[in-house]
Amino acid sequence: MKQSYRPFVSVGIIIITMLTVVFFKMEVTRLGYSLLRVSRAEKSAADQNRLRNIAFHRLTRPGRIESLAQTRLALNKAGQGQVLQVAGNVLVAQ
Amino acid sequence: MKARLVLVFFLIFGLIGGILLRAAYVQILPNQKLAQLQSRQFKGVVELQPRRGVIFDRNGVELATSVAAHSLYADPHLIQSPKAVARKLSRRLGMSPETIYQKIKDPKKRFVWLRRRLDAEVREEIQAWKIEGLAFVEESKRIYPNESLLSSVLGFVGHEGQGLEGLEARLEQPLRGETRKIAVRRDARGRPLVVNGQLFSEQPDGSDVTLTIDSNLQYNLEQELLEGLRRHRAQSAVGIILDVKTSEILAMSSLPDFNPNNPAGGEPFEKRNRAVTDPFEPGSTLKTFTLAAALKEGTIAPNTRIFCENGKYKIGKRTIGESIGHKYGWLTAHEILAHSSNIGTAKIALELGGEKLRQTFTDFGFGVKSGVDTLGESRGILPPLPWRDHLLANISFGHGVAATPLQIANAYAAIANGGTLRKPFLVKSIRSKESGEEQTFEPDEGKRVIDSKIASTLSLMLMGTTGADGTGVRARVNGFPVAGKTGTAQKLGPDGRYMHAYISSFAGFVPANDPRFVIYIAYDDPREKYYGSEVAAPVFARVAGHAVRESGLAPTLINEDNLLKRSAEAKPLQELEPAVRGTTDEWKGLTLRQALTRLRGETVSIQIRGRGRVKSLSRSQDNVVIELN
Repeated sequence: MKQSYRPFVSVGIIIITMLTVVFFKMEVTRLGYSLLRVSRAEKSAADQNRLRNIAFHRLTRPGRIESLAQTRLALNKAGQGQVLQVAGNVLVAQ
Repeated sequence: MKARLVLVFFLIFGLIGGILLRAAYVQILPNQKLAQLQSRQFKGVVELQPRRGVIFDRNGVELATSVAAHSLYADPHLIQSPKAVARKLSRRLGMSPETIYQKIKDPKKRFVWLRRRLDAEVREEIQAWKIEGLAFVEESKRIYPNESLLSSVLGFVGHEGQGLEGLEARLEQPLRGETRKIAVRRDARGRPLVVNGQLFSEQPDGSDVTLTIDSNLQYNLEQELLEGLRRHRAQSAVGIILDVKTSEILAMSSLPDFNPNNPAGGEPFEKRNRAVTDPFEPGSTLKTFTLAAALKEGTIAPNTRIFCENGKYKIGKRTIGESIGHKYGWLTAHEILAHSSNIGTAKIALELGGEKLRQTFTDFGFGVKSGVDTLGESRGILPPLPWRDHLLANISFGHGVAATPLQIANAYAAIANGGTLRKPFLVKSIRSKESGEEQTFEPDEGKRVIDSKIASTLSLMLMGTTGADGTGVRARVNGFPVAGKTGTAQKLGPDGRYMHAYISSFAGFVPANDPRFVIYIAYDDPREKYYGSEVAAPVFARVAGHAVRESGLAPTLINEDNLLKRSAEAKPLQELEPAVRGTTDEWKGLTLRQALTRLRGETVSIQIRGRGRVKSLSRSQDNVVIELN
């Protein structure tokens, strides 16, 4: 290498190093934004999940099931002695 | 050429060097003004809003939970046309334009709430209008999916999300969580720069709480109490189910109750957990403990005979009687409990003396707080000594003292578990969302209040109450022995005199031979019928029957009376005809109940489609599909 190019090469290396550092710093920032976006999406999904969970619990609450059983399936509440389970034997019902 | 090259090099180098030097000057050398400018421009604080913890029952069913909601506020200073904005918002917020206008008309104001906790779609719609001066804040909205279930125990939260009543208030600290403020750097557009992940690792949400409550038992208890409340037109009702061995509260209800999703709609009386806050005269349910004291002190044995004065017993100037229509002569101590004789119990107490009786009552938890983890627990009333004979006699059968339903139920649990009084509790565990640590609450060791032999003797005596001629015969549960005691206490009026109003109750445990559940039922001021044996005992039987079935206990009393008669429709399995019983035509037109009755005893999976009567029935090996129309 000609001696006259050496300063250019040195400066070039310094600049490339600095640009690389800047690039990685920007990459960290960019990934940070992605992370933020994903975390917001995750929060939103968790909220949706929670709402669905609440809807599930509302739909399966005992009062509703009982009401559906009585009005749509024409079932009655089991009274005393209507279900008498004897271990290992048959189920005797009224 | 070379000179030019060197010149260009130094020019570029000089420029870059100048920039670097300026950057170094700005970045490295201290400059207060620049530092302030930088701080103002790039630093910011992100507030992490906590979400209130979830309350679960013992089986993981959500009883109270929180979701994100969005509250709309206005900066009237920035709103250009308040009237137009008010008109536009009124349609979506369900408020009158005038109400909104009154809030936003004053441009000197900089902040005013318009509507708290809106749904996401409403927020999105309002945001799309892009009206200057309107903005949203994310808050948490408390939801009780089961509505009024367990409401008097759970309580409710206020507008700011703080617990105001019940467990919500009692467990405010762990449930609430804490707002965290995190200093972050922001970019030119104000977005937070994620540097160290703190934004994600910080967890401000409140802890999740698991209760000892079983929501199935709770639901059944509430339904049965409600049915009794309607049937007897009582003012209110209270019910408790305790685990005998641990004193865990499995169900606890005070009716009428309220919907905690809309707490403003309920009366203050309905919002109290009256099972722990409101003491009343326990009536004859307290006789059990008078007899416990006498058995403990050895002044009686179960077969000790006592003359019950044929229905009238004079103490000083006052006369004690039995409940209406009863006159007893000689009764054993066992029979005194079974027939609920006031005179017999009074005579036992008079022989025992006030001091020993009071000590036994205190040992069983009367007159002292149980320490249950709810707000506003009452200690009840146990008058100080000395007790004159008439007062002693009255107290012996549950008048002149007051106890909460929980105190009575827990005292019965002490008899049922062999003589140990434990602290009743509602909270099973608290799990921190941040650390994942779970704090579990175990039953305490308890305090032995009577010998296990005496406890067994008392249990047997209490089984006599549900015997053929006992007062609690309606509390029987098919297949299971029941021990318990009825109670009918006259209510005191505001003037301190007894009114013609009663509290009817039944306290007992099931199965009496190996107790699992202590159940206490009480009705305040039932009409027409008011004896505990007629009002509370049947409800006890239904609640206890459900509890033992739910827990899968096998019945121990198998006899002709509690086995159901075999009928043509209820054939034992071995007598059922094979696979297909009847053609589709034979099934057609049957009600669903009739169809299910015909299928009874077969081990098949049944699918029901539609509504109405049976249209067709098809079956594969293990499946039956019933089509209805």
